[in-house]
Amino acid sequence: MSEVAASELADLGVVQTAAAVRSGRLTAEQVVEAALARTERLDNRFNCFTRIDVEDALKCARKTDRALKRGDDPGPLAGVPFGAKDLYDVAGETTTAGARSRANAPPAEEDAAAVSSLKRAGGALLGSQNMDEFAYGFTTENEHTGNTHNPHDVTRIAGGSSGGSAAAVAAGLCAGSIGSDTNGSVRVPAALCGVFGLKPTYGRLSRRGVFPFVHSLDHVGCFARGVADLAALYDALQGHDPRDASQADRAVEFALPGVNAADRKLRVGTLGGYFHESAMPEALEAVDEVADALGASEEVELPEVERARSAAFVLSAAEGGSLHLHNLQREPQQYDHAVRDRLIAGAMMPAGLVMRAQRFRRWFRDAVKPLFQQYDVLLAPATPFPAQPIGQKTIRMARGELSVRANAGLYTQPISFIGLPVVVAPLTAPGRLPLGVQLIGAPWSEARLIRAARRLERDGVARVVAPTELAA
Amino acid sequence: MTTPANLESYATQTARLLDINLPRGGAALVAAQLDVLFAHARMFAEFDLPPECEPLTEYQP
Repeated sequence: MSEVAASELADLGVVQTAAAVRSGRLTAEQVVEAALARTERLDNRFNCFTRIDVEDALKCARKTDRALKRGDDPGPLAGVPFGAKDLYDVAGETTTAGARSRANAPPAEEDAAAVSSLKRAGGALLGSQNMDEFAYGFTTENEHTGNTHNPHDVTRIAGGSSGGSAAAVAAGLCAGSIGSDTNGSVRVPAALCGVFGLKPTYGRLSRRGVFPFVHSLDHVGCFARGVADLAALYDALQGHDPRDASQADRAVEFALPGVNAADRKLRVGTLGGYFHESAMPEALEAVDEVADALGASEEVELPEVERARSAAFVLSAAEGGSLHLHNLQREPQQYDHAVRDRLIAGAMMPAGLVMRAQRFRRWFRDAVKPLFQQYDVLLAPATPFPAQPIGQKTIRMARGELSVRANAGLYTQPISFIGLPVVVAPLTAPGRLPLGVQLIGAPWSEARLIRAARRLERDGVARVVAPTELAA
Repeated sequence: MTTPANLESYATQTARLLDINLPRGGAALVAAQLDVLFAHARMFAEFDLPPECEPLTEYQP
């Protein structure tokens, strides 16, 4: 196979790849070899992967090809190359969570539930992807594993903490990826890298085998270059896992079969107030473009949303600090210093304030929920700004000079605080850095949000464009 | 009210209680993070929650 043909194969999306493999037009091995070749050729520019598992990826692909030869169903993701943020357990490998202190941790005994689900559906895991240390950041700047570079401008951040996963999809190194989202770690990099991202409802997907950050807020999520591709990944990730106590008791609700169905009258509102303050004009223009396309006419305010963001901020630091307390006592020098100081401070937060944050969470959840009797989708910017230069610590915003690492999630944090599902629709155009818009729904309304995103994609409003860096 | 000096003192004392060895200059760095956290905490702590509002620790949306 020529190099050109290999690149074209690796550019295929999830649904196209699976269809081509299932129909026999391509073998899974051809597809995975092409993705591996492309990753080897390009990833030195982006640093998306922390580890490539060539043998395992090919083994998965050959298993799919053998199933097809036998006449067995290879699964809905037959031959689809995917990546997983380096906090997902992969059997036989050490889950580093982007941390030097975990370099010598024992290897995982089995795949994380999400990895296992995608493999069972026929997907081939290419390897593990770069992230902020212990998922505590929004930039994927990592002292130990290096920075992930945005495929649309390699001098800029990819966003984080699932930056390697989003950038790999944007650069066409894999058809889809799985990341995690505690405060915005799927939504921020999806927006900055210009791909679709899904953070489902809290409790929807199994977290078994995912290295935790904040138990109260951690979600499994995914990235793809198309909405149908995102739906296919999400569908494969669903299913009851009796070994995950945090998973909700919900029936599987497939999104792909109805992805092109039209919702007769979608009731859409635009979040105002807090979600307008601090945003750069282009972030608000992106929301306006989506609002026009979906017929949103009203502006909605979330009650006490700034307090919600603050409560999420404190809860994250406190639960994260508590999780890491033992290691902070033993080997604080092993941590990225920016992460270490935040975790130590979090471990020092008085219990009374942490409980207060959890009490406020109940109040905020109950105050927001009635809005969904009036609206099916609420729109908000995913980030206040496009990708900033790597190494830039602060950015001037309406509230003053603020940390990029801590504040890129200004608009995502209050939403994940109460576990609402969100699809990020990317708005990209040649010569412009990508931005994303959050499509926020009532709990368990992922399928409807995916249909709304598909409508934006079909109308040419949400779009993924090939990064300019790939033309260089 | 928190000040840089009393936050640094809080960081030093609490680190001792938690058995965390702060490196030289570490208390000031942690105090800077505490300053941010307490500012956020004030945001929701001053909100008048009804007493029956329980912590949402077993969370279901």
